Order: sequence, then structure tokens, then C-alpha cells
Amino acid sequence: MHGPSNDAARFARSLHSVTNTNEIWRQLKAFAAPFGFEHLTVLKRTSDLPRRIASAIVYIDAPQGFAAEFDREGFGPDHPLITRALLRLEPFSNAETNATHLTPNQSRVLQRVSVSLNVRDGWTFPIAREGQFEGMVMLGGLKPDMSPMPCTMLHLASHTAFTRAQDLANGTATRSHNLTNREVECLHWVAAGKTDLEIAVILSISPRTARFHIENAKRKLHVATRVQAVAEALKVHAIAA
Amino acid sequence: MSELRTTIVETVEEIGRASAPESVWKAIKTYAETQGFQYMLVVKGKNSVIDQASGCVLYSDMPAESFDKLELLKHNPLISHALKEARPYSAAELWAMPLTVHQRRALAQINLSLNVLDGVMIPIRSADALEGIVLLGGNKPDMTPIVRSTLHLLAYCAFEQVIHLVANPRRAGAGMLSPREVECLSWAAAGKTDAEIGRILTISPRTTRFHIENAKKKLGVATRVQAVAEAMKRKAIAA
Repeated sequence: MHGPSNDAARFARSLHSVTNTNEIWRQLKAFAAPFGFEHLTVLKRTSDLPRRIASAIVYIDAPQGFAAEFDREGFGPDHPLITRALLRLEPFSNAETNATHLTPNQSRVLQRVSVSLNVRDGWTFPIAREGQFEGMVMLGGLKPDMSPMPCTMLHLASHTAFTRAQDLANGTATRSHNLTNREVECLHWVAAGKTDLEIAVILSISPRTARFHIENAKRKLHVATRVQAVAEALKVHAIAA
Repeated sequence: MSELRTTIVETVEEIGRASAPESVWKAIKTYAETQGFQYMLVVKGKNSVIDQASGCVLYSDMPAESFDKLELLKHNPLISHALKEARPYSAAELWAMPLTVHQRRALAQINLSLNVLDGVMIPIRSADALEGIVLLGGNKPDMTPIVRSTLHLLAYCAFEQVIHLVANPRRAGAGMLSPREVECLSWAAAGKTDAEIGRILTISPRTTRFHIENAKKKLGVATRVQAVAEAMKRKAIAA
């Protein structure tokens, strides 16, 4: 099966083995790019929102000093996207917000943000866990595809990415094994049918090193063969099924 | 909520493995029930869906008699709204819209007879045509945006799979490995060699190899590690 549903599932599955936050945002951007969203901003909940945004920024594609300038000029309380996300958990678009009644200050801030980030439309996804606001993910672009299915896929992707990043930051990310990243990588390629030599080329290490990682993984998983190692790694979700 | 990642992956995979439309709908239904949606109705999205109720139903777990009595699909804003709307919408949103007297009565009757207080309607579109609508209702369903998005994705995925199943009825299905092949792969996953598997199953090592080679061919993979990984993914052997 192919199509959007499978893409979203593949994205969620691939996050399972990511252990680095920057890699999460890189993958989210790669996922959103085909729909015309080039710009990503991720904010987390702070007591300063919406007054100051600098301390809330988890990730932003913006010119240097953007947040500091934003805070210095006191734009936060007039940022209609941030203030709305704090009130309601539903996804909403820039265009929708523009169509509502905005104060002159709010229009000015929204326009300023659009111009400096080069964004014409986009989605804001408030992220909640157990009904509690945790942060927001904003995706924008010059000419993004704003139709319902991409919106749903990006909403789910943003949610899974945000919660995964949060778990990693809190150290609560599920890690049911004690394999190193390299060992996981090697096992992943073994499961894909690659030989030691091929794995060595992919990871630009020597075949002996590849074998070394796999042997260590076997020892840690208490198994005798590499077939068993892959089976065990799948069971403990060390590699994605 | 933190397991949303796993929920999406598992349900999408379950739908992908389904070999009959009933198991596709069952997969959505199972997820929807955990979120408080007791009833599900799936209709084909022909433009005639409004007046020709019975011919359009793909799945329904509502009591049949209330279904007939209510002429559920007539004047029903839950369904007619899908003709013009592309995004999923809720029953509460509909109540807030200008509706005719007939429509309000239909809505109220459905709520009363099924004891449903809210729900979500998911139109499925391909290009510009309405393919179908998935309607979910419950007494106290979880109406948070993230649940709605999950249901939207799953409903979309289900229609894709059902259309695929109708087009290729024979190709679908995961249980294509023979019992012997499954046994051999399970022992290989447990770290046994061909000779050991042969002894366990009282067959020759060559026969063992023969079963595993056939399994590899059926799974479309090149190595036995890959075969074990693939068989686990398809849940042909226990993970």
C-alpha cells in the first residue's frame, strides 16, 4: 500500500529510532517539504509566552537575532498565532487568522513575521498531552498545499515529532535496550539484507568494524547468530519493524 | 497519548495487512472504541447517497431497526454536509449551523435513539469526487483535534485499502507462508542452524533449507535475516 496514510505511518515509525532532536526536526522538514512548507518553528510552553518568545524557541528557521528583536519590540502579546494557540488546541491556518477580526497591532505583527520569514500561508498545530498545552509547531511556506489531507498528515507528524523530542529531552524516551547508535544502525542494515561489506560502504567504516558492532550487539542481546540478533532487536523495538 | 506514534503505525499496518473490507473497518473501529466512539457507519460517496440509503452502506454497527425507522440518510445533515465539505467535521459544529426543521429533527432523533452526544464525520475525497464518508459517534467521545486527525488518516487509509482489495482480490492476504515454512523461520529466528532445525522437526537439513528458500522467495527477500525480519513485520512469526 502506498499513499499518504503509509507515508505518515512510515514517518512515525522512523522517529522510533531517532535519538537526536535536531534529526527529528530535519525529518519533519523533509516530510513537509513536498507539500511546499519550507519553514518550521517549534515553541515549547513557558511561563513567558506570549510576552517573550526567545526562551520558548525549540527550533526556528529565521535570520539571526530574529527572536531577540521580536522580544525587544514587544510583539509577543500581539502575535495572533501564538495567542490563539494558547487558547485553543485546534490546528488553524494563517489565512484563517487573517480573515478574523484582528487589531491593527496584530495585523502588523503577522505581516512583519510573514515578510521576515518569507511565509505566505501555513498551519499552526498546538500540541497537547492529556489535554495540557505543551507547545506548538508552525509550518509555513510561500505556496504551501493547504488541503485537508496534508493538514492531517502534518498535524500527526508534528505531534509525534514534538512528543518524541520532549521525551528525549526529559530522558523519558523509551529505550528498551542498551545498544549504541552504531550497533542499531548496523543491525538495521543487516535486517535489510546487507552484507558486512555493504554495511561498511554505507556507514563508511571498515567491514571489520561493522562485524565488531554486530558482534557486540549479539553479546548485549544474548544471542548466538545474527538472524537471532535481528529478531531480538525487532522484539525490543531497537530497530523499526 | 504518548503512544500515538505506535497507535498510528500499528493500525495503519493492520489495515494494510487486511485481506477483506470487514477487517479494514474492524481496525478503525477498534481504535475508535478506545476513544469513546461506540458507533460507526461507512457509506459510499455517490451523489445519490442522500436518498438511496441502503445501497450505499459499506459498514454499520448501529441497530438495524433504528436505522430503517429513522430513514437515517434522508435529510441527514451529518451526511449531506460531506458533499460540500472536505475537512472532517463534528456533530456539534453542525448543530451550530443554519439547518432546516427536517434536518434538526433527523439529528435529534439519531442522538436520542442511539444515545450519541457527539461525533465526527470524515469525508474521503479523491481528486474532486466524494469517495465516501466515515461517521463515528459516541456518548462521550474524545473530540480533541489530534484524535480527529488520527481518525481522518485511518479512514483515508481504509478507503485506499478497500479500493485496492476490490481491484486485486486475490493478491491480498498475509498468510501465504506454509506452516512448515513458518516453523523453520521461527527456529531460525531462535538462532538454530539448518542441522538443528532439521533435528527438531525431524526432517533433513536440506529440506529445512528448501523451506527457508521458499519462504525467502515468497517474501521477496534475498537473505534469511531479511526473511525473519519480514516475517516478523507481517506477523507471520511471533515477535
